[in-house]
Amino acid sequence: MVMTVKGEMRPEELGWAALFEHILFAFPGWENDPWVDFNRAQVTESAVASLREFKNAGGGTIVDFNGTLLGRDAELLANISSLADVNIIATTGFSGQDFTPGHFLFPGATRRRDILDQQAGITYEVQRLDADYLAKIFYEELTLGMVGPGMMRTSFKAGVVKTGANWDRVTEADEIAIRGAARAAKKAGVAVLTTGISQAQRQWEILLEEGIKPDRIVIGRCDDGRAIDLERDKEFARKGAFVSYNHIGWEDTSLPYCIPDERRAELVKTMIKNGFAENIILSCDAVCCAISIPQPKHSYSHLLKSFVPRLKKLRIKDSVIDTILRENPKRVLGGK
Amino acid sequence: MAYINTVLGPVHPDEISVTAIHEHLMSGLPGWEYDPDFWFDMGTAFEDCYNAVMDFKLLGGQTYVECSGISSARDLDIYVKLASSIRDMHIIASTGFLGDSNIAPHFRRKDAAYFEELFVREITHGMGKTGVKAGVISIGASENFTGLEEMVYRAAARAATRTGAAVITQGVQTIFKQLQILNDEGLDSSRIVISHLDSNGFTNLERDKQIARTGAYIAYDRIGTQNTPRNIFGMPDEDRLKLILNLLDAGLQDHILLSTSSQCQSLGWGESNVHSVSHLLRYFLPRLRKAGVDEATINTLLVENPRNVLTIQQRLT
Repeated sequence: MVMTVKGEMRPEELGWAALFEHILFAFPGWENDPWVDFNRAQVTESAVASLREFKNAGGGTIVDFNGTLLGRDAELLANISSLADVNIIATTGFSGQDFTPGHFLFPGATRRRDILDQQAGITYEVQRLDADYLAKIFYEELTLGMVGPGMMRTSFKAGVVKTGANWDRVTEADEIAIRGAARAAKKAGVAVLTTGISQAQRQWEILLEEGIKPDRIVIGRCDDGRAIDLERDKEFARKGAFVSYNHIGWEDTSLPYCIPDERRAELVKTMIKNGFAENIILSCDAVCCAISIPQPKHSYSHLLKSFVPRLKKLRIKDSVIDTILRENPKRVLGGK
Repeated sequence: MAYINTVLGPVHPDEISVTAIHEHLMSGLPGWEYDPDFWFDMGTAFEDCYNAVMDFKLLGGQTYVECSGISSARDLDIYVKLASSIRDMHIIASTGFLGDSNIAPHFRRKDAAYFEELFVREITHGMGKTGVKAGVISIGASENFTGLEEMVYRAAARAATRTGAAVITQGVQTIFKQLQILNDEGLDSSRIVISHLDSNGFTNLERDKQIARTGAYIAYDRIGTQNTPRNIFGMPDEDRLKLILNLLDAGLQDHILLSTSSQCQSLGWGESNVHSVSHLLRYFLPRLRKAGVDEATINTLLVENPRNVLTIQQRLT
């Protein structure tokens, strides 16, 4: 079963799924910026409209790839999902040290926690910020409910786990977050989606060390303009992982991480020709409300309305497209 | 016009008397709110804050300066409610960032010009989306003094010069670098408070005299802390007293500030309510008197100096 914000679903019910999308996207602390103009009503309306367009183009499910920290709003997701009648799967986990606030950046930090001991009066235990500490946070988001503002746990559960790392290296804080995410994913039986392609190899090693099976791992952002590498992608696919081209629509080549969709389609085609159709994930990293980054122009339906026709022009068969958009998400999210 | 920005609005400087210049009601690194282990009961937390501040008031305290700055658990609802609940108790909130790890990711991509406008706005229009105005700029530097911190320091100096608000700075490892940046940006030393000079392992009488002689204020604001493995900067009050007596002998009473840096509610990896702001008046004040410090000098330290720091002289820009 797969957990969406509307509850558990059978993997077959997901339909065509885009695994790397965002409703809101904001870095922690944005609430303190007086110049951020966040209008919840307007965001709801535009997100519902965009998702209906996605649905009309054949889409069934998106994963809100925010993780715990990047502007995820569980109640908003649930509301939008119901109004648009599109499944939304929320994520837990962190996205790399640069996107992680100070509270989680000091691995090993200790805290004395007073607990009541019936015989001796008050005693205490020492807690440490480590992988198990974070695993507990992520696991509870998967099984009890996601944390929300105002020190409240919502009733909406996350359905996948994400990991990330800084561009130049996997820092110590990144490593405990990756291990924590892996342990939570393993215990809850959910998939792991990575981001930060420059450090994909190290993340992969850590995930395997923690006992995550390759077929529950999606290596995200393989179409990042700074790190295109088809040999790497083939290698991950050969080992049974999924490789994701999820920056579709980000074509402004003045930005180093963007490439034209034309080139992206060639990458996908090459992977298919090499026999890896069953290991490909596609998504367009659209953002309905971008708060801490520039607003991208394309929306969720770009994948189906623009990129899929482009693949068809390259003589990719409908059945292969269906494998990539329906069967692959079903297998990785559902597990078998 | 000269005024002091409290969370309930501007007051005339003469309305301000006994002041704790560096305190924290809620204190935590950004992100604590995503960690359910640190969630707390708001009613109990408010009660703790209320009891601490009320205790301070009953001992003669009258003004409480909250130095947490932006994205370190600043909670304007609590400040305003406290100030409205305790008669004749002034709560002053701060803008600024306490140090690199206190700067939430959203702000880590901004530049000095952005920070300057942000601080000016919080002092002249209101903090966040509220109309509650900050009274001081509270900033800090880590021992590495990162590039981001330098940006914040430059912005704070410019915002202080534009608005007339003072800068309270912490980070004992890099004091002279901090002072230099603030002065480089044209901030008058008399608008600078150097905090935490009574940090265990980092005390230095000659350094403090040197800072005071530039016209800046020197704050002994860890009063009441104990030196434990979990509070490495804590030190006994008697050592602190010796420093202060030496500075008074050197005639530097117009530059000394006192406070406790207590935290009513710690939302991070520290501990709550280890000591209280009341310690300043309940235990440290008698210690000063017993050491022969006269009432006029005590008034200078607890009333006049903080009043001068907090007073904003209206500027044209």
